[in-house]
Amino acid sequence: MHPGEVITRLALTAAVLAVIAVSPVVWVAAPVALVAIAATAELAVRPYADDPAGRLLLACGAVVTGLILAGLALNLLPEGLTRLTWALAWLAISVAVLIWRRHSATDLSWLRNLGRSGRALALGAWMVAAVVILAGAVVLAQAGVRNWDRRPDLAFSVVSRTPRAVVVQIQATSTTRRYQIVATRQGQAAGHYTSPFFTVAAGGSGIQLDKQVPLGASGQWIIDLQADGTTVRKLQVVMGRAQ
Amino acid sequence: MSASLTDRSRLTGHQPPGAALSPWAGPVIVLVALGVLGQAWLGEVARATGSLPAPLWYLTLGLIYVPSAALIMSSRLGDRGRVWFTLYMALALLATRFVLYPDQFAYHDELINYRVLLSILSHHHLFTPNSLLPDTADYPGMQVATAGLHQLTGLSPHLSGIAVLFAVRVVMTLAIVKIIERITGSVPAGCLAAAIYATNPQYVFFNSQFSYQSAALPLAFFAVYVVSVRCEPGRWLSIVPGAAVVLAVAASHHLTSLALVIVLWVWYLATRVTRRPVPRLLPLAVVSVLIVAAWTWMARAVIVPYISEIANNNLSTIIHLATGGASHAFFSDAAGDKNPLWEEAVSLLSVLLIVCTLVPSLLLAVIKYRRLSAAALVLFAIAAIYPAVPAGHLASVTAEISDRAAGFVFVGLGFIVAAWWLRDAPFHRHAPTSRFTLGRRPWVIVTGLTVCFVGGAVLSGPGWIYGPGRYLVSADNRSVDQLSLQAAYWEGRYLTPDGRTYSDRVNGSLASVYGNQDVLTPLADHIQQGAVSNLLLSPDRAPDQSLACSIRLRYLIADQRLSTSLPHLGIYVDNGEFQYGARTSPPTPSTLTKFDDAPDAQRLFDNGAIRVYDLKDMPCTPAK
Repeated sequence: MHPGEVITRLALTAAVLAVIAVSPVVWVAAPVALVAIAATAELAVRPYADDPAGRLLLACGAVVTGLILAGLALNLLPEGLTRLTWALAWLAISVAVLIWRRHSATDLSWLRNLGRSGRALALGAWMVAAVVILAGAVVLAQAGVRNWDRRPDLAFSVVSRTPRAVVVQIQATSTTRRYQIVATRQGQAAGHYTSPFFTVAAGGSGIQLDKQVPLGASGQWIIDLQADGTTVRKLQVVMGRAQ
Repeated sequence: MSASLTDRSRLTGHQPPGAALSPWAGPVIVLVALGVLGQAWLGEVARATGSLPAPLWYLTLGLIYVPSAALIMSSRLGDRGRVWFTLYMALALLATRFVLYPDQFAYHDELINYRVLLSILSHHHLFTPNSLLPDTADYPGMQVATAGLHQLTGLSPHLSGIAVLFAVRVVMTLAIVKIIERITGSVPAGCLAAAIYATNPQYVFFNSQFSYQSAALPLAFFAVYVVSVRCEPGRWLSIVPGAAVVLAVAASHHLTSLALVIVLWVWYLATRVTRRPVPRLLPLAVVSVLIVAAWTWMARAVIVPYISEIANNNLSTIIHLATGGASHAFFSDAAGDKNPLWEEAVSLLSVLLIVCTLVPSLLLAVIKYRRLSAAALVLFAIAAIYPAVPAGHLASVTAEISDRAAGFVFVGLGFIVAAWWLRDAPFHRHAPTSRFTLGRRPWVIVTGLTVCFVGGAVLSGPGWIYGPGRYLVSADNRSVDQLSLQAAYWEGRYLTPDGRTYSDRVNGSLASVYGNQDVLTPLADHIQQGAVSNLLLSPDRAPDQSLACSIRLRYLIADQRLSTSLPHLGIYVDNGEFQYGARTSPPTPSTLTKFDDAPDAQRLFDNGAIRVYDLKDMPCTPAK
């Protein structure tokens, strides 16, 4: 193997370790790691493949199999499957493959022939068009989900409590309305709490409001979220017992 | 090339390797991409209007499959291009799943397996119990690969799962192409077999899901391919790669690993019949038995009850069927949703087409078995199982297992149809070619493939299962909506983790995956579904308190929308639930909200559809 190739491959191995250590944005980390994994897998299976398709098959199969077996092995360590142990496993495997295949030089001469044929160039243009369309499909799909998530909803919940109060949460999306919280103690001596009116103005990305509701007495309380005098959501809590 | 898979008689190739580049290649590349774009657009339309327009769904899917199949069968395309187009088609079909659900796994099996992945990421160790389906924790192969990719690349767990699915789709497609190519000596036969494989009912839908079988099946094909890869003869170490892949399969899926062992042994026995030994096959078959047996032994606590339950259900259904008792509505789900008539017609036609091809092909194999290699005999034997796939649909319980078998059967089917289509000699030795074979025009096979592809997709499940749309009751992906996810995320943020929780099938899965709750199931907790489901589905309130106490239930999640229809999958919670098999109307709204009146039950969450009750303060009184 040419020294330049050895250095490149070692740099790729180190790059994966670096992205694991530094954790840059995923669009930097993922391509670097995927290229490094692909390059190592291709080198490992190279002598066994008859053609590029066979090489791709063996490389993909080897990567999936290798990840599964590496994971099973890492599970035997006390630390288990952490980022650090995966990084060490990657280091061990990639260096082992490099030593194992040290006599197998990469032939990149096919790159020189790329684009020399008119038909290949034409096909390249179709492929670029296809990539643009596929990217459009991904964007469209994600936009559809975002619109879906913007449908109106309203959730009312208890999120924390103290011995004499609870904090209720209002989660709303695409909703604008004035609300009031009314708490009523059930049975025995009645208790009551009425909050001031407040406006929930939730856009498509939703909002979250926390409100404290004082419930001084023990027993079961009903907490209503009311709009225009009508209960739209209802909670019930039991106060005065160890939580 | 190894001779291990090679047949004596080679099929005719259309072109020498790498010869030609069809002028249609470019337009087909773009058409396939447009098919994926069409699916993405349909996903948006379905979310906006409430339902996925079935004809357009099949049309856009056909935009991917039909031009690709036509190009693969074209004599103007070189062998190398044929292989790449086969792969492109396979990946584009997989991509349709992710443009319909780009941001999350939405299907029941996906949620179950995603739970295993999240457990690995949070606990850093394997085999953490998964109450949704206990055996998945003991077969974590796919999730381990996903976790590794997630840790190494920084991709989200969901995107890492998609990356693994694409990798195994590459493995599956190319393994089929290469295995059939090695048996027949023909690249077109390999590509045609892969195109035929894509017509199996599991291909577009089930085997594209983030589920343990989706990885195990391609790896099983890969194990067979690895046996055929050349290596230095006589070295015992040469079985190590094959054994490694078998171990990966054993760690991924129980029935697939068992099927792989059976295939290896049947293959070995076939080599004894043909008297053409395959190097390394016997040692690998022996090692495979040891690996699969050892893994099954380790997982015996969960796998034995799971497989026993499946076997019992299927056996009792078959007996019931044989005695004329079973009934199953074809092309209709449990809530009464029916497939359109044209879909029924196409699916029946596809079954008819396959049977019409299968019967004479098997006869041919019997007549000419001396000319066939051992691998070809095995594939013929696998193809012969095909009638069990449509026959399994006679009952709903057996339909599931027979559909799963399609993942194996269609490899054999792909081989025999490809061998029949591309063989130069008369199809039947006693008959003139013209009377027993169709004219081998590409449009004939492309039309047949299109019918089988659409028919296979119809057979894979009810129409609503293919993509998003308005909420449906107990309908897997169509029940996972904004409201159920909102509740699950809230549970994960504010409820005590691992609280013993009971809910319906969909909200229970979401509570486990996103809510970090310990959801009670019969398989994991040995609860009696019939009794416990009373908490949700029975209007009788009397036994609720003692029942909740007896199973130490902390949270109950009630979705009032269950009262709006019968369950589309036939169950609200699980088999054996209250009124299982006898229900004619949904539970009333007051049944689902009865814990509003239970003493000291707390209602902690309400989003209009879903209510979460905390039962820890409820007094334990004995049932009267």
